[in-house]
Amino acid sequence: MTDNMKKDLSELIQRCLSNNDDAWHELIDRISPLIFSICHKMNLSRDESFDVFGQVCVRLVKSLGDLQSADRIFSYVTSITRNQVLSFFSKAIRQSRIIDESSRQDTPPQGKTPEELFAEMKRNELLLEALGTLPEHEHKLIFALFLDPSEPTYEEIAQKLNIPISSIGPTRGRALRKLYRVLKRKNFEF
Amino acid sequence: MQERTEIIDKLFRYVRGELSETERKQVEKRLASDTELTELLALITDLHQQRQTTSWDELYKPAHKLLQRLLQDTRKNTSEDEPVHGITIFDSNLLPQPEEIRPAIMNSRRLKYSVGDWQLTVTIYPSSPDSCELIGQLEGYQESAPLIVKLISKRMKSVIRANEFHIFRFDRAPLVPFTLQFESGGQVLAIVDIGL
Repeated sequence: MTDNMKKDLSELIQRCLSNNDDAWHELIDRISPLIFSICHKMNLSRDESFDVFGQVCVRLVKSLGDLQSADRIFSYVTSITRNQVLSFFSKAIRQSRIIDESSRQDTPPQGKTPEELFAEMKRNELLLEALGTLPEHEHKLIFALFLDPSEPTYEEIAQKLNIPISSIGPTRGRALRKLYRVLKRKNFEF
Repeated sequence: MQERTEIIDKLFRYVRGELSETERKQVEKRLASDTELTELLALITDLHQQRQTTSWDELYKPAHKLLQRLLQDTRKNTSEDEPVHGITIFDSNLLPQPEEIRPAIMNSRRLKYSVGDWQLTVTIYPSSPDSCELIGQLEGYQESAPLIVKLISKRMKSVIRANEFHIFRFDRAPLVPFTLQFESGGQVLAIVDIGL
């Protein structure tokens, strides 16, 4: 992460700690793809993923001020999400829930080995963590282009972000190249 | 820089299948000799697939609505000397209903709250136009003194003693906002606002 990216993230976290709701919503936009991706890779259902999301959020709201450094937020979120998912499974086993064979069977889905699934999960986490570190305006654009479920048009994106349509291409290019460089430094497997 | 922006634009459209046959072949020819471009394409493809792989479209709005409630509830906890206020961490009503299920089956509502070190799970079953059955459990509560649960609304107050598993049931709770107050040994331990 560059110094500017770290500074941007640090400022966002400070705004959250100042009880700025907009800042919290922006932070959630940065970390929730990571949370839901982990849940998805661990084969949780939609409702279960939402349950884990709430658990992670309350932990984050209570402990955000204890983070030693802003750039540790993604590893922290990854860690508590995984712990919540494992806790979820432990509880399900204790309660002897009927287990959906398609999601909990010994044979991994799609014929992949556990090692392959783990590598895939780690790779995805790395990508989403890196995405979360982009400066605010670039993150918002990449989010709108790739993650916004309403799949906005370029006109809608320009209006929402209050930018000229002509700036979308260059900003997208800069953001993607930045993301690429961050991932290259982390030895991401493209 | 301009040239790089244009090629990234073409990669973006390539992933979305928006290039003409000629453009597609030009891009593929370029990819065959440019490792960095190939890796950028892989990155764009990965990002493009995020929306399709995580139920994101169903969870995005509920996530933000839940966050707003969570923040509001958190701010009710102003002092360690006062009873803990429950923080909403799950509400099944925030999620869109599955298409194949009849609404009547989905009228039950599940809620979860973080209550200090404990967790409260509540399920609500409508039983009449203005009342419901409420079953709850306060998990993590380990005191030896009995747990007393009070349901308080504008028009009624009902008191129940939870069982040894800290499970409690109100057979007639109102379908209006009310408060659950948890007490033990005459002391109020926690307050949870249930907004229906």
